[in-house]
Amino acid sequence: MTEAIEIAVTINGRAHRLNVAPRRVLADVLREDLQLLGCKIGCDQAVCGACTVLVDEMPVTACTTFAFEVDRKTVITIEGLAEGGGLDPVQRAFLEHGAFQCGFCTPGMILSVKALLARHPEPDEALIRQWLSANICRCTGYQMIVEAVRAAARSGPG
Amino acid sequence: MKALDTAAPLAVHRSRKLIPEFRLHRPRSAAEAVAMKAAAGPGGVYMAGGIDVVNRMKSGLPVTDAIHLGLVAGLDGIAEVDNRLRLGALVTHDRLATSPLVRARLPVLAQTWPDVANIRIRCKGTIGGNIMARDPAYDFALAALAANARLHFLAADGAMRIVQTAQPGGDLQDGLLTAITLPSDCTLHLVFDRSLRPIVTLAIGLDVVDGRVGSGRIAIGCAYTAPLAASLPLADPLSRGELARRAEQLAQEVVAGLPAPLADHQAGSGYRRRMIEVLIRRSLSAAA
Repeated sequence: MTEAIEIAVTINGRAHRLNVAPRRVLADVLREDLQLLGCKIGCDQAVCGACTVLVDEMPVTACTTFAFEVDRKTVITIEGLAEGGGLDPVQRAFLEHGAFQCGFCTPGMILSVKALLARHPEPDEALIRQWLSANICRCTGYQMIVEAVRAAARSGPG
Repeated sequence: MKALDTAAPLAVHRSRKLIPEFRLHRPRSAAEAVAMKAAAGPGGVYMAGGIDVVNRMKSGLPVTDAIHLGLVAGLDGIAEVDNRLRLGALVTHDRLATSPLVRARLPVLAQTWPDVANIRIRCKGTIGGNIMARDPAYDFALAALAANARLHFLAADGAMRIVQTAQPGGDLQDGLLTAITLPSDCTLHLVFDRSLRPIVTLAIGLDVVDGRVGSGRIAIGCAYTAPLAASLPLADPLSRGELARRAEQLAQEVVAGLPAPLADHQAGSGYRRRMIEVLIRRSLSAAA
């Protein structure tokens, strides 16, 4: 079996060289090796979206992505959004609109919204709901999340 | 009870902790990938987007060697060649959904694909992996069957082989799917109905020449252990109006020739058969 391989990856703006076994998924490397605990593992089946991170600006399920797949790529987790102590506009909108309760789905939700707004800066409600159908929240009922996304879109890029 | 005998389990144990240790291979070319797969033996798998393979490994798929295709160049193009749309096997669902060329030549694909799976899967999953997984719930396999697509394989002996979608892989188990081609000259009319997913999905491909439908194929998903294709029983070419008028009869004829659909916790076999007939009739009427 292949021993651990070295990958070079930029995570939240910082370059890393990591030794990872091929069978390890990105979510475990982020959580166990780098203590980036905002990447949650819910269903472990690429369905619930709690483990969503951005890989080269695309939303990806970290529970179903091997760590070796991000070799020479850029990863952003929820810990990488706030800059200089200031929240990202999407984070601020979620806070101001009460768009979370238990918070388990929130990191993945916010990163999906970042990807959505990067591609569609002015999404209508149908598009917002289509994208967020990939992120399951069992607390809020989604209405406040949709309102937060619309507010974040109105506020423009941070 | 027979239905229970054939029912799929309601829950399966699936976890990333069950992923076995494996040898990782990262070929730089298609030829290198095929050689690695052949050398790996029965425990070797190709891995592109990995959505399907990783989930199968979480369910206990005994993989000894993963041939990761992420560094193989030249398999992700979208182009038009000789009146056919050539889609590289590593084209992702997202690129299929957003490609200007696909939108221009086969607009129904571009219209349907934003609703397929979710954005994360569309960004990572590939159409080649979708076909080769032979999962009855996957959508691009249906599109390929309905379109009578040609699958281009690089075989283990180094030769390129082209096969029709009815037999994806076939005797090419170590071969690598490199591209899928579909007609792009406006003779192919595709219709999708995913409204009853996950019980039944349907794609119909009609070959239209001079305004008349000369032949067609019906691809059925979610109802059998693998995607299933059937021919539209047309003795003579029909105008679209005639096709719509005969939709009910044609649907009945197609369904009469089908094997019994699956029975599971989502639907019984008889209900699935009835819904297949309904969707065929509805889609043929819509095609008119």
